[in-house]
Amino acid sequence: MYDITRIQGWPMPVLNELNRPHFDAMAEGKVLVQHCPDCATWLAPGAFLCENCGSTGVQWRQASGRGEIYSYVVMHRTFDPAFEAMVPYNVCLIELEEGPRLLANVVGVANADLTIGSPVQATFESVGEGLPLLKFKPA
Amino acid sequence: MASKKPLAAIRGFAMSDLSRQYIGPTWQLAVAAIHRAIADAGLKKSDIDGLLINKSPVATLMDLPMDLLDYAGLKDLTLCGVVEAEGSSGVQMVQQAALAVQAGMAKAVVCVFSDAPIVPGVSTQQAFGMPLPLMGKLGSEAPTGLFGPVAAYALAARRYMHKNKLTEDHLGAVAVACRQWALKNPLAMMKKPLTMEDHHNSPYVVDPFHLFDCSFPVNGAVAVVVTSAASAADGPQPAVYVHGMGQGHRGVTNRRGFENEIEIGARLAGEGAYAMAGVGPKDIDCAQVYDAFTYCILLQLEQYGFVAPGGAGEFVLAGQTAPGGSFPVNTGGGQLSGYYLQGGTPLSEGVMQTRGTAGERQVKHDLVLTAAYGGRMMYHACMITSPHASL
Ligand SMILES: [Zn+2]
Repeated sequence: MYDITRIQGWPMPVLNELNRPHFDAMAEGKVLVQHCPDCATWLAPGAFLCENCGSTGVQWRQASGRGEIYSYVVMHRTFDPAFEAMVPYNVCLIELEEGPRLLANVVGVANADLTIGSPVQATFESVGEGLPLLKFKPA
Repeated sequence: MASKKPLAAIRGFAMSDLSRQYIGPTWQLAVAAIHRAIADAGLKKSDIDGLLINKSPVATLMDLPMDLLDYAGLKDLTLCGVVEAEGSSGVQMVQQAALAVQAGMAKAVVCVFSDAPIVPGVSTQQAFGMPLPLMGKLGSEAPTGLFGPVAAYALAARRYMHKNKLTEDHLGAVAVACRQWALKNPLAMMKKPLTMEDHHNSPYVVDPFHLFDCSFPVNGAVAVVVTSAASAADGPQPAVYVHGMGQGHRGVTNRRGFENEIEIGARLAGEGAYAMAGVGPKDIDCAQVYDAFTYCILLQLEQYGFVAPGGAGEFVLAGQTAPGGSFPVNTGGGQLSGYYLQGGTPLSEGVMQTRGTAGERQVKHDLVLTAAYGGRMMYHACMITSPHASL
């Protein structure tokens, strides 16, 4: 478990130096993930060292925002009031073309039409009381 | 098979009362199971010199604290600790107790799992409904609305189903097989027959999982007493000899090249246990595995080597794991239809089957594989038990 807070009324992890750049970049319309300069491995955000080579020199780096659906679910129940009006809503695991995978909601497509492997592109939408959040849409 | 001596044995086993309602705090259920297991072993409290404790990962240490030894009236222990390896702890406790017995640190170690997720004012849905960091380190479950273990597992199941071209029929077949076993188990909570239609018609919780793809919370405790093989042979119950133990922990790597949903630590755990026991998957008569969700049985059948990769869906659909099938799995109904006590579920059924005391649902039990996992199938522990002291 980790601590949940609310930012602009939206459920969010408590931000710290490991995850804050990723979420802050959403306000600028950027997909920020991590990259190891020593072995050139792209990493999903939240890494404080490179899981491939052990380097502690991991840097934040902007990804293209292009990727594909690696897997997806459709939530028919929720446990947070923020999502109640959205049920049933999807949550997808997106594999960025650089390699890292991110959880996100995919918009602009019916849940019944989601398919693994279909190309998607980052987009940003405000949730809650105006919090910009990374989403994906069909590419 | 090579002639090998067992590592240790389970001499005593018991459970507290089980309920889908609140019947007392976690520690109280634990004490009940501990006392019953000691009596079952034909031992006195003063014979016990070790205590290993396993709490639910979503409970706190306050629920099941170290001073459980005082609550249970145990004194002068030479081994006492909390095993914290999430759902795999139920089996890991037995492994650690076996090692302690082998090393001479303790002679009779009580291992206990206890949980009371259902408390007044908290629904069974809410009990496990929090966002869990099952996808990695970032914590993006909350902003995207991926709540509960069911969602994280559904995401894994979808990938697995896609890769192996499985349908909801394959998941449903798992649920139906478990229910058939549960109907033979007086301890099981689910008492109504379940058909494939019932499964498909049950509401989605998180698509692709219907309600009957998911286990359900139960309050209760499981305890075993681990001793040397020689001690267990002198006990009043049939000894459950531990011949092999293994663990496998693969973590979650959220990037291309890693399919955490399909390749899990269970393979490593199984290989270790088979090598230690000097047997292979073909020698195993039945398996008791952690089955919080239907998909988990399918994947473990493959990873523990009982079915070739990708073949588990058809294997279960053909009824092979159900009563009368070629390879009985989760003969007590598992967590899906029996009772969800995390690693305590496979542990309890593994003991009853190995002892030969499983009544109407008893199957061939010369070699039984018992396996438990934690996280989103990140942490695995298994053991191979037998009623025979030498294989
Ligand atoms: Zn590196």
